[in-house]
Amino acid sequence: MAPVTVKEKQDVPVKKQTSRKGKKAWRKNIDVEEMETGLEALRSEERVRGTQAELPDEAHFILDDTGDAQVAKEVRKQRTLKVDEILAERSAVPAVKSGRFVHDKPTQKSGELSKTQTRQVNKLFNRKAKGQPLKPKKKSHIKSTYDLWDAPSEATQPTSDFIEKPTKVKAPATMSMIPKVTQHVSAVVVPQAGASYNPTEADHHALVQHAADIEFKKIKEAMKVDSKLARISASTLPDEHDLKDENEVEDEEEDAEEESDTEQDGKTGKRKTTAQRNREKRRRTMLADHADKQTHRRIGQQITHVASTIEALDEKDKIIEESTLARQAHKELREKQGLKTVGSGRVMQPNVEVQLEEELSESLRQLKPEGNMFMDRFASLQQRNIIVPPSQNKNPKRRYALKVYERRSYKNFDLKEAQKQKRKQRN
Amino acid sequence: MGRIQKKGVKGAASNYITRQQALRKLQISLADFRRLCILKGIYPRDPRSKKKANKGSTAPATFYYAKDIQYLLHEPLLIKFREYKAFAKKLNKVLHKGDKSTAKSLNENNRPIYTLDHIVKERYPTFIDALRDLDDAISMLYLFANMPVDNRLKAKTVKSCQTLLAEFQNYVLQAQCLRKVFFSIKGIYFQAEIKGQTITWVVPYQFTQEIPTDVDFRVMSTFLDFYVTLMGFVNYRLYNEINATYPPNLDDGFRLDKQKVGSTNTEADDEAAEELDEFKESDQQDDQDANAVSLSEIQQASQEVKNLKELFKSHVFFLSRETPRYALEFMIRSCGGQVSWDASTGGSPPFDESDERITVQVSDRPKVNRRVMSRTYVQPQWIADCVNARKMLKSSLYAPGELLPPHLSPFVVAKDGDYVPDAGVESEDEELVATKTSDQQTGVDNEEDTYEAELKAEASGIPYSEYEPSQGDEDKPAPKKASKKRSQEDVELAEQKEMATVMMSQKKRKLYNIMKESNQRKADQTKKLQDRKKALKNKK
Repeated sequence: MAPVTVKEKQDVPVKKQTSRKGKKAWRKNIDVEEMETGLEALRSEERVRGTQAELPDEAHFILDDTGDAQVAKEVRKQRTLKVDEILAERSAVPAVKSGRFVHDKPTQKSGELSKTQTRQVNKLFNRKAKGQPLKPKKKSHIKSTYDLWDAPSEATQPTSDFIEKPTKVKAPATMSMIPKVTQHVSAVVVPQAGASYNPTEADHHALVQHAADIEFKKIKEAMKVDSKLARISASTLPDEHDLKDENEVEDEEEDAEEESDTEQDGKTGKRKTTAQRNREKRRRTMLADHADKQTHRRIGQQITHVASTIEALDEKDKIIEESTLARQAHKELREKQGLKTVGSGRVMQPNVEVQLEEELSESLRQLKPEGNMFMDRFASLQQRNIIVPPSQNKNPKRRYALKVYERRSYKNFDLKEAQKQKRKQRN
Repeated sequence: MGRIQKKGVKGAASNYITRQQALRKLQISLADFRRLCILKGIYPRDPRSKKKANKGSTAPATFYYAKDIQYLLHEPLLIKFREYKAFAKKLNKVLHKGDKSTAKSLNENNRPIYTLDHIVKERYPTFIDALRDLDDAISMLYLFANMPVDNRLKAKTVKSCQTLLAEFQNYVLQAQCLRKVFFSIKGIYFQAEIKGQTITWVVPYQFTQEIPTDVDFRVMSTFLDFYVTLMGFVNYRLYNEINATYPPNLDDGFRLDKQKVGSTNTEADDEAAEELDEFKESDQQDDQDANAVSLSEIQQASQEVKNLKELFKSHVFFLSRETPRYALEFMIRSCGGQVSWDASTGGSPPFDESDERITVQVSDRPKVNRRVMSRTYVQPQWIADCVNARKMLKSSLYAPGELLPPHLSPFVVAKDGDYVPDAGVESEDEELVATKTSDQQTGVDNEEDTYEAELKAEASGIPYSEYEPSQGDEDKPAPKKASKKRSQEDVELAEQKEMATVMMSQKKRKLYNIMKESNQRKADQTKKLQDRKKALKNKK
């Protein structure tokens, strides 16, 4: 039982509990208040408005159109999302495709011709209709040329103020810097007089000598290398044991040095006597005087020999000048001769072609040309620093072994050949 | 101290760029890069310090100017190369599938074509620049003109080479600018003079050449493409100069349609232009020699050229089968002669072997069957020697079967005092001229002797009035007539020399004397050889 407050206690009237035993008691203590009030209300309404039967339906009943808010809420909860609604809309316009297969041509329907095929068929038809044979396409080997250096300037398009004119790219200054070799060595070097097919003896001899000199140079170089290699024999190479001994000796020396250093460096606590100090002082002054005297003497000598020193300096200057001139001239000459290697490739020098006396022909008809023109041109291009010489193949053997594969279609090779033969026989 | 510079920003490190770096910058393959460098004229460079240029590494590398490679980025050919790469991929794919018809249509319709016109215009802004590089171009074209066609070398290319060369040869014929010819063991060297530029090219003998494996064919074919374009433009311009139509109608063998185009009007102009050209040439020599070039020398040179142009004017030649037809026809026609050849060598010969007009028949056989009395029979070397000597030489020395006189190189310039062996001496009137020239030379020697004697006399203190020239008197009257023209120049020269010797120090004078002595020795030797020759001739 809830605790009752003072107020409630005053408000609520206290009821007496009567017994309800027996039929009589039931009829007697019945509370009829509620029913009485209800009936009273009905009667009063009837008095005001009228009986049920008299009034129309609208007076008794109200149609509730708005509906229950709660129900509406729940119904709304069951609805689909707007997004899904939009997505479910299917328009007549198809969406744009994107992805890998966008540009695939539409598949051809059987029986229909593609554009090119229809065009070809039309051409054929027209030709047959007119009765003319097909003219072969004439390809001009050389395109029509114009005067490149006197060409009229291109017609200027109507320019407006606000459109910028396209600026031509200017070549940098380095493009016009041609290497000295390219400038000085001519493209086609005419060979010496001895290279004539019918030379004079002297010229021919000179040419043979020239070619022989080049060969001798090469042989000398090879011999130099060989001799160097020959000098390095197994006995001259340092041996294992030698190396070990050297290391031991070095260690001993180092130890000895260290010992001597420690003796001198360490302050062993010895004191100098006055005599010693005086001795050292005298020594010092003597050395200083000696040095002074020497400098004075030297200066005196220099003064007397001023003229000769000036001459000597002038000569030195001359020598320096001459050597610089010589160096510059040599450098220029080297530049004009060209490089020996570019990158990792050696520059090919043009061959000196010479025919020995036995090979010289008697007439132009019997002449057998010497040397390959391609090699000549290629070497000339390399010598003039126009192209990079081809890189030497450092490893002529393959790095990895070659793998041989067989295509799948090759399995049907025999079958295909048989089919071909059959077709041939048929035709 | 100024601002601290970061390493690798300035100097060799930033001026040079290695090939690998260039490839990465341009994003093309090595073959394409090589082709681009050849076409644009970008040369590999040699920096002073490779270590600095390569950022401390001394590994072998090829260097280029960084600015050149930057400039390459603007090249429209790069785009064409990339397009071609894409096309090649497509074509390859289709071919591997076995779809030959699509491959064919792709090849015909979609293949990217590029022209090299703008590159030619860039590299040679003027016509003269193009002429300077023409000898390389012509030699390259000749290389490929006689090659057999294979999968690397297309028939179209070979045909274009041949037509361009035929056109160029035809121009040289019409303009008559051939100057020197040399038959060497390597090939035939020609030199022509066009607009003041000397162009030397080499024509290989008509034998099958093979391309050795050392030679990079792609590099050569790139050069060929460029030179074919260049040659086309040059030919157009050259034909414009002689008022002829381009391209001309040439049969096989560069014969024009019987039209000698525009030559009559321009002959006078040619002569005038030529004299100017010779003058220009001599001007260049002038700078080198620092001696005044006399007007007589110029006149002599222009006279020689005129002689050359009309050398074979009235002669009609016939070339036997065994002679090199192209070279000989070219030489003869550019000196004004008419020529025909055997029908079996090809082309359409204008007249037959049995024609009566023929004055000279060129044959290379040891014996001549069926000699015709009206014709002189010579070996091919006669024509070359005539062209080089600019006069008609004695044809008896060059008769078939005879031991030929040596074929001298016209490109060797004889210095003063050198012995020049006379090429198979000349016609009869030439001998007189020969003696005259030798006398002139001795006259000069004698003058030098007198001058030396005078100097010695002066040094020893004898005044000029007392000094008597002892030896020079006897020979003076003889060469006086011949050397009258040169006396004034000689006097000037002598005066100059005298001034120079007076100003010289003792040491320099000694050197000068040593020099003179060696020159004298040389002159003596040549004189000895000439005297011997004269003696032999007199014996004959």
